[in-house]
Amino acid sequence: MNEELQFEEEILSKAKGLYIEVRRITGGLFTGHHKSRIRGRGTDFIELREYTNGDDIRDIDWKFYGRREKLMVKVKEDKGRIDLLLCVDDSYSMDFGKNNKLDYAVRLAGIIGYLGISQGDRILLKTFSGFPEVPPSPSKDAFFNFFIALSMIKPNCSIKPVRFLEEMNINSKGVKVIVLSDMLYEENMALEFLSSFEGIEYDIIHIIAEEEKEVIGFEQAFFKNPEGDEKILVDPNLLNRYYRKAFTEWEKNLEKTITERGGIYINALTSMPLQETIINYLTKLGKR
Amino acid sequence: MNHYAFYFLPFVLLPIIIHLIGKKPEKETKFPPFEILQKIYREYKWYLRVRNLLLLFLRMSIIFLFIISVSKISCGLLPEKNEGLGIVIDSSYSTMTFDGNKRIFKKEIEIAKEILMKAKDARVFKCSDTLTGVYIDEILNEKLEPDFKNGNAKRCYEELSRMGFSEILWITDGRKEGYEELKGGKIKMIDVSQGKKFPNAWIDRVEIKGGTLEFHLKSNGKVDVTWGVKSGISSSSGKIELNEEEIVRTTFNENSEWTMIKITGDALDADNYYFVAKKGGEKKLVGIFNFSPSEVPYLDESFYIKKTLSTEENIRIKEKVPFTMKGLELEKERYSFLFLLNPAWNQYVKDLINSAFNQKIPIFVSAGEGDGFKKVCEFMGIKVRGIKEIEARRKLRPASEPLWFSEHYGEDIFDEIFVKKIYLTESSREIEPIIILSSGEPLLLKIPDKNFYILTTTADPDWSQFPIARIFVPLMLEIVLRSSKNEEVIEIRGGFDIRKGEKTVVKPHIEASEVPGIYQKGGKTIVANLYPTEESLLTPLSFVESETESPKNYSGIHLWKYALFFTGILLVLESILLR
Repeated sequence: MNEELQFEEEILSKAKGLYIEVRRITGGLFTGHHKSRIRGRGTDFIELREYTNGDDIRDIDWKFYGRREKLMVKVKEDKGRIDLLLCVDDSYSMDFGKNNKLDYAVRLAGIIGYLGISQGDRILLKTFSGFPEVPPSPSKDAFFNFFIALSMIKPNCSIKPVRFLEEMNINSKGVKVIVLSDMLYEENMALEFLSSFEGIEYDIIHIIAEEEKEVIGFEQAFFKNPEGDEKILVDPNLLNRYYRKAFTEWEKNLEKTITERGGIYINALTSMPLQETIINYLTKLGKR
Repeated sequence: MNHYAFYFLPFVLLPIIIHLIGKKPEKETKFPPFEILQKIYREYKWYLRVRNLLLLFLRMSIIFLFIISVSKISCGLLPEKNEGLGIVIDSSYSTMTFDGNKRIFKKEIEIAKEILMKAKDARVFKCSDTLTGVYIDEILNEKLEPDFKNGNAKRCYEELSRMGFSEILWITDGRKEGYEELKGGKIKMIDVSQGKKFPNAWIDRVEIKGGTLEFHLKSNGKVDVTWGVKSGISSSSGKIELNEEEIVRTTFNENSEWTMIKITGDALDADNYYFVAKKGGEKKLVGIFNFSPSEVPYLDESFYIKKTLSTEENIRIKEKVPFTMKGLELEKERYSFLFLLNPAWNQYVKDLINSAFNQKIPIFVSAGEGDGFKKVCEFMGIKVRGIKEIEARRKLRPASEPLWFSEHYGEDIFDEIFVKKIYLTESSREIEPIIILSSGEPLLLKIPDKNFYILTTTADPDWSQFPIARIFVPLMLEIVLRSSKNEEVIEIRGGFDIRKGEKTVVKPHIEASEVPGIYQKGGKTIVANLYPTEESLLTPLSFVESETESPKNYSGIHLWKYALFFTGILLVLESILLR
């Protein structure tokens, strides 16, 4: 994996006009690109509406009352800020492929992080192994900390954590989780992993190496689980047809499950240029 | 049918052998979607096993069917419906008889060639005493010689019938013995001698009574015979008008180690000699150490040597093949002569040669494909320059000192021999060439002081036809009988048995006979036939007509064609399974 991260200017310039959109309105105190969920507190006027019990009397348009003797409340909007939790899968299974999956995920995370910081969001970085960890920090150093932490990510663990959000004690409000993983869980664990995002906005960027889609390029050998001790003797020529079908089905099912549960699914093949993947992702976010 | 193809039948087991000894991969590949792969593997495990077994079976079947295809085997389930033509050339020794200036055998070959040119689906066989007819289509243009034993007509006929020939054309020298049971049916005879009678004379029996040598001459007709008796000390000769049986008496010099009797005057002059020496005790034991035995008799030098030596009553032959070569043989048996055929080069051979020298046992070494021959020669101090390929047919010429039998046979015993490959040896003072090819390459050498003979070629048709040359039998007898280690002189008998007993010549129907060839009868193309007479209304076909007419509607089951077809089908099946 590349120790030094280099993000092509071209990618960043292409992504300049795009933003990491959130589907829920933020309620943050800091300024950012996203619309705040609390109307009335901001600076941009939107409309007048009738006063109802519970409205803050500071929002009453007294000039209007003076002219029409009717209590109306000014509705305003504020630019909000969110916490982007970038969750990078650094399990051993990610260390695979001619275009290494983990390398690809880290680069992708770097670009997303850069975009997030550019639009004033707070960036949190979390790996499955838990190392390195970048604590949320509004300071200018956050930007550098983030990239240094990214460069330190290595294949590190055999277990994919299922309910890491609970451990992190993440407040669902104002947080968007972006998972960059190959999602190679056992079937039940994958469901549990997805259900752990309930109430949180999340996107899954599914990192797949070209070599995983078919086994035809391999010689007859003992195929080994990189995260376990199991192995089986496989003649790729014999098994490829069935494997290819099963892999495609698995991908489709995963996308369906994620979409049904309100997440966004992005298929990121490591053979695709990074810029294409990032633009696909941002475009998909914009359409929602 | 190409029966050599069946030697490749063990190759059917090749897929199993490859499967069994095929290396299991030791390589490990880390593969992240292992769970998916494992699930598929479990799901299709049995299917894949069945598929693999099917592939194994398919591949074995493909090899088997391919061998069948190449063999061109046909199943003669309905041989009576087949219409192939089998031509058999009588190759018994009596065909050595001269008819005018030409031997009967040569005439037989010419007729066979003529028929072979006209009949598109004919096969030519030589009837010898081998189990099966020898397929000789391809070597008709080579120098062919008759065998020196009786042909086994019945066995040859049975074999050809099994092969499904509807018509069998037997080209013979007119002698009916051996053919009586075969007449009629689908066999037709061509009498090459066309009824001419060639009365033969032969030495039937020899007795030594005191100082008298008494030999009984027999004939199957009236023939003027010249006889000669020669020994190392004296010689005598005479003429006799032989009619059925006569006895000739002459003096026998007991001081002579050997005496040779020969008669001349009949048309077949090849086997009319008898060799007598002082009678000794036990039989000579000749060891044939055959280092590369062949299952095909006529490719094996040992086959010819055994045949030759078996004509001698006082010789016992013991053949050893690599499987039976154990321990030092010369310690156990009292060998008088050793043949080392296509020898290997190892300690066993070294010990064998050294032991033979110690016991003064003569050795005869012949060449072969392996490099053992070269090593043996070098061990004997003879430099071998390599193998020379000779394209042309060469005449033999004797070395400076003529062999004793050349005196008897005349120079024509050194007639043409076809030698394709020989080892070239460097000449030296210690080596005495016995026979040299006309182009100068030595064919047979001897190291006199060690009684060591070297034949620079072998029986394989790729090398030479030496073992079926006329010179072979008398030469081998000469070498073995005169060189073999034995202090006592024993009686040695030469010559052949072929004309013992009643001999008759077929009475031909000259008035009905035509020139042998292909004829038309009743709108059907049939082969020539001079016997019996009912074929006398045959009309000769013109050459062009016989060329254009399909001579063959072979209706037997061509198994090989079906095998070829199914090989193709199975190959397609295999490629589908592999997809």
